[in-house]
Amino acid sequence: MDLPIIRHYLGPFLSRADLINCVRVCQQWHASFLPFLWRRCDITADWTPEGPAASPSLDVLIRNARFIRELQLQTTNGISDFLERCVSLRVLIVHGKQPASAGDALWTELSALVRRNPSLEWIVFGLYLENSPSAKFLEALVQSCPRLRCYESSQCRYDDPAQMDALMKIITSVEQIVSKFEHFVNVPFNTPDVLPNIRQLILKDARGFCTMTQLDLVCRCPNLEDLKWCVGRDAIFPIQEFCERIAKACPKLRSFHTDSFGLQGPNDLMKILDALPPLETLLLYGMVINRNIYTALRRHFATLQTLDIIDCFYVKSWMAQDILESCPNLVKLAISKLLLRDIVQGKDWVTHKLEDFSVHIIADSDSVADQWITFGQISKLTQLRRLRISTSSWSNRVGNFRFRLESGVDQLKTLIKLRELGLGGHAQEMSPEDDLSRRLRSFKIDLKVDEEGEEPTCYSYMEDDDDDDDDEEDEEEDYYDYDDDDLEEEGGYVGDIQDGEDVVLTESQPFQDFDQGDQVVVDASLSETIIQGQYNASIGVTEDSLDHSQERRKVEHQ
Amino acid sequence: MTITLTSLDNLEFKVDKDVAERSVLIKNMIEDVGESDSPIPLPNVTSAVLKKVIEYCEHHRHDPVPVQDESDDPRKRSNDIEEWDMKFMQVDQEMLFEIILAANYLDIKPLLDVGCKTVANIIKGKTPEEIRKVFNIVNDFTPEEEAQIRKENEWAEDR
Repeated sequence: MDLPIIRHYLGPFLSRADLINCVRVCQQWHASFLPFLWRRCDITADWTPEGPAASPSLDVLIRNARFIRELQLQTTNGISDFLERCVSLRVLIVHGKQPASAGDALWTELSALVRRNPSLEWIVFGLYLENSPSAKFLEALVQSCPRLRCYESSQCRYDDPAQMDALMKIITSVEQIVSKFEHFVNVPFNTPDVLPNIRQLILKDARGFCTMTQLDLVCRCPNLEDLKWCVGRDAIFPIQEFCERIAKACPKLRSFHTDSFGLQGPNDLMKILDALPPLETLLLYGMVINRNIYTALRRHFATLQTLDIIDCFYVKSWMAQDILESCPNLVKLAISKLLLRDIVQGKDWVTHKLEDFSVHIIADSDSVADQWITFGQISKLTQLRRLRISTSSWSNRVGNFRFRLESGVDQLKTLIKLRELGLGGHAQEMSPEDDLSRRLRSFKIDLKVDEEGEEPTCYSYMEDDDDDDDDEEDEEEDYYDYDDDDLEEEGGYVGDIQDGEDVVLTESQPFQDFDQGDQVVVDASLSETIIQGQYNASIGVTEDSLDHSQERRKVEHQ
Repeated sequence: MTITLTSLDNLEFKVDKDVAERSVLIKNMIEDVGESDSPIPLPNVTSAVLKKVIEYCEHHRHDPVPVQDESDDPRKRSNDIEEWDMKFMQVDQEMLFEIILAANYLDIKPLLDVGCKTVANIIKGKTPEEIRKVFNIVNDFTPEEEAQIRKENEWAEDR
């Protein structure tokens, strides 16, 4: 360890906590590891120049400014001297109440900053609709930072044509654009005809930005690979135009992410899935997956690597089993439920590349043999790094999926790459002999076990080094609160339907999934038009006229 | 085709071409010199270390060639070492550092990574005093200096 070069290579592999200790070891180590410790710096909203213990003081900041590559600013009060010495920035994040209310002064300061940092690659703003990059700042950014790859902006308010002109220049040069909850007020969108650099585009809930114009923007990106497009509550998704244009305009599209807002009919999603090129990544949030949609989804099974539909509705257990039997390239799967009976009656799973698996496995019987078979199937997923199995808290199911020796949990010792195991919601009755943690420790793996049972038997936490990845998703959780309550108001969500229970359609809950032979009770409040308009496509309502009295009808699929 | 490698202490090692080419340095040398029987001298690597390096390359000869990571910036994990590699790295400290230096000189990135991860795992969770003990390092800070450093970097502790 005498040699600086070894320490230099070592730096990126050390966690923050370890770096803090390494800089105290000796003079040489201090010199080698200090730059790594200071690669990332966060100035929180409560920072002052004297620096409370939780923050570095201005002196310390000034001394180490040149090492910083990722800077997050939640305040710009009193840090000019420090910013003057930041010259190695690759990532700049500015968000919070203080920058939002700082007005033009913020942009003067930041213009000077970007001029000093030609290595800037990634810039992020979050400004509570109170502020937005000035035209001068955006010009400075374009001129000074040729390596800018990603422009990410949240809750900015654009109302100046000069601003938009400068923004267009940025859009033309970067690879990745993220726009969330932004307001565009009476400004023109003069995007160039072609945006060949854009690989990733996120457009979420933009206001004042007509959805047809948004679609135009998307279709001007011939090298687009990754699209997340949510038009927002009050807008309409231009379904027909999207389906007509998307495959030709964006032939390299491999990743698609959307939510249900703006879609009008229950089969819009089916049309979208049919129109898209074969996908590798698909993330759907808050959408109903009925049979037609599921059939359209199957088109992508050969190529799918990531599928996240855990927050969609009416995803049946047989669908989950079918996915596991049919998607050989799947690496990440998040899906809501899977009954033991479907696993046992189904074929072997082919998803051998699966690394990340989140699912509610529901034991619909107490059969130990069923549990053995289930563990057997899971044990084949030898590439698993992350496994989360839990019951959904709102349903009462018979039996528990038991992580015990007698249920065959021992088979999981094939999961040698497993790093994270989530068992939330399972009440596990464990005897000392089959204490889960002891068993898993004997598998020689370094494990983070998270048990939300009544009496957790072990908490062996591994240091979580990978907090960087989840930041974008966490941000979204703040803006979107999909409570069960919200959804019931929306009218699109119903509690789970037990076998043998009647499917009840009402005005407030017109969307339900049902199978051939189900008895359907139509409530008097449900209007004729709803039935005819939206259900005839997928079901055949018998001709025994649609009068509004409550009666039982047999529903057959067309 | 076999390539002959000569260590610092003049021992010759015959290896298959595809094994030798796990080292980008050797690969480039072969391309420059063309087909030739003359041995390639590696004056920076002793025979003991070269033997270990060759063992690594032979075991990993069929691995996909690593893609060049454009920046050395991204935080890397150290908890995903394969079992064979872990056993391979169970050597004394001196050999461990020699392997890292050799991997650097010969430009064998995966071996360099594994070596660094191994050292990172040794450091993991240790206090400065424990680190000094493990690596035989003398503390050349005065108590005041050390306290100062600790105070200045306190802010990073909870992040």
